[in-house]
Amino acid sequence: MSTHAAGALDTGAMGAVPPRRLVVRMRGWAASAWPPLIVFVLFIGVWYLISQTVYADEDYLLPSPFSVVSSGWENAGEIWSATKITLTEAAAGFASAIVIGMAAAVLMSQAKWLERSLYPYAVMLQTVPVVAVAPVIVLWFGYNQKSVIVISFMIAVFPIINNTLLGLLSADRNHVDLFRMHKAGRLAQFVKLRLPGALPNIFAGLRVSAGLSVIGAIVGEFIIGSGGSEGGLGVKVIFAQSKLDTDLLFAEVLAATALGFGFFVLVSYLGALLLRSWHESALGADS
Amino acid sequence: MPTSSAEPDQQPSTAGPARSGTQSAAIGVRDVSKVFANGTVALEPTSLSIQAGEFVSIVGPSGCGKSTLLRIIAGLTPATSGTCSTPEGSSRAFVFQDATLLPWRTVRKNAQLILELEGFSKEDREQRCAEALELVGLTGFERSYPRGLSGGMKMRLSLARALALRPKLFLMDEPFSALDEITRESLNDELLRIWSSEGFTSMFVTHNVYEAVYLSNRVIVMSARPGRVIADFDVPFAYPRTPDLRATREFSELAAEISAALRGGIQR
Repeated sequence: MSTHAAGALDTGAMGAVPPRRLVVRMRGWAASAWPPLIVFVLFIGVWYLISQTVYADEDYLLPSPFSVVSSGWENAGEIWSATKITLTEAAAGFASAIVIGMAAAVLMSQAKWLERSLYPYAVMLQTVPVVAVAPVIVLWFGYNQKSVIVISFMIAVFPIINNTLLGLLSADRNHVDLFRMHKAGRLAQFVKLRLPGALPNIFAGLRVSAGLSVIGAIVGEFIIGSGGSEGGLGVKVIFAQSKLDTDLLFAEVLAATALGFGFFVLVSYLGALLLRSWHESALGADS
Repeated sequence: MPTSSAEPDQQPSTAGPARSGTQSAAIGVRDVSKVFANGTVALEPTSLSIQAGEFVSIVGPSGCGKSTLLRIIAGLTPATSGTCSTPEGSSRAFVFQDATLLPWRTVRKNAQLILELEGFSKEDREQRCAEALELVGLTGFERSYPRGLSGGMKMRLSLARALALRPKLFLMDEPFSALDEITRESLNDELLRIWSSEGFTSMFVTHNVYEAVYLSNRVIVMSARPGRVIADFDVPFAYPRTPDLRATREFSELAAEISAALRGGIQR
């Protein structure tokens, strides 16, 4: 009854009778796209206002959004090649964090004593001040991209270990009983129960680590410097700062942000693809 | 009252003479007890024997060890003492209180889970799974995911998953207790229909006396913790049973008698 009334109201207002489903779906997109868009416009507007009033005479402190965009446009080639370098490092750091982090979590999930002996060190990997151990890393791996990748790995690995372990250990007790009762071994239990059940947790960890791996790569570049080669965004940012080229600095920070965001979106998309058939986190609003 | 009897397996007057022999026992429980690691006595030494093809319900207050007894028979929990024997090679299936489905598997793949674990071939799995889904009325839902099913349908799928194994022993731990009454009563009828066509031995744990009487040919009553068997009732009503049975005087009287035994066990 109530849906009928709403339908009549809609079509009455629009005159035509479009397929209702399409209308509903487009309304859904609009509803989810509007809020962040409004925030974006407001943010740019406020930024512009402040840059034109408070910092009108000191645009090296806060350039207007338009000069940032034009500086980015002028230096697009340079920013792009720096982004590619940082992307490579972050991707390598992220990939090794996935492989090593998940392997460590799988190992720890096998026995309580393994978890107890290894987990504190995983935590320490997270809490050790990376900047302080950087000299050691440089000593071991040299002033090059390898060190940057190691730092990216160190920053990105813990959420993967933590979430994967949590997921692997939170299998339902009755499910475990069911598997035990029907003579399922460790491997069958892992492949058919624990791993698929852990996927939502694993992707929660991956989403956090995706952004962290980019941050790690940039921190690494800060510390290691250009290392003789061209250098990624972290190197460029320091360089722009030393020249007081704030427009370029902002453009490069935006590029780094976009890179981390891209990582996040990619991982989220893969997660949604894998989980959409069954997990609440990946279900559409219409289901 | 049979509540004061020292022998746990001594049967009150309502029990018939049919179970004196043990030659066709499907489950033989002898002096099985369970003491948890913290010292709690969950189950005092208990003996009982269940004949092949019987439908036996165990009723008792919460925490009386009825689920523990069922888990010991299923092999999920080791007994502290005593022995529990089932005939060689008799396949057992266990149905839990919740449906325990794997949410990432479709209905069809869920129904095949136990067969996969037990190493059945793909053709066997497909055939048995189709039969089991047919048996519980889920044909046509093979490609759905559990999240799309109602509570009653989830439990049907849980039953189908167990039935696909074609078990000789069907162990059920309060399987319908989370369902609404209408769904539960219709699933009671389904279960009876399947039981009479498949001929397995059923052991059904519940705290619902009416459900126990409606389903079973025998109802075992257990006392509050520490759990022990305090009464063993024969249910004389012939199968197939219909919902009309619930409205008869005999049904109410037997249910009342079992409830009284249950109360005696709690107040002991």
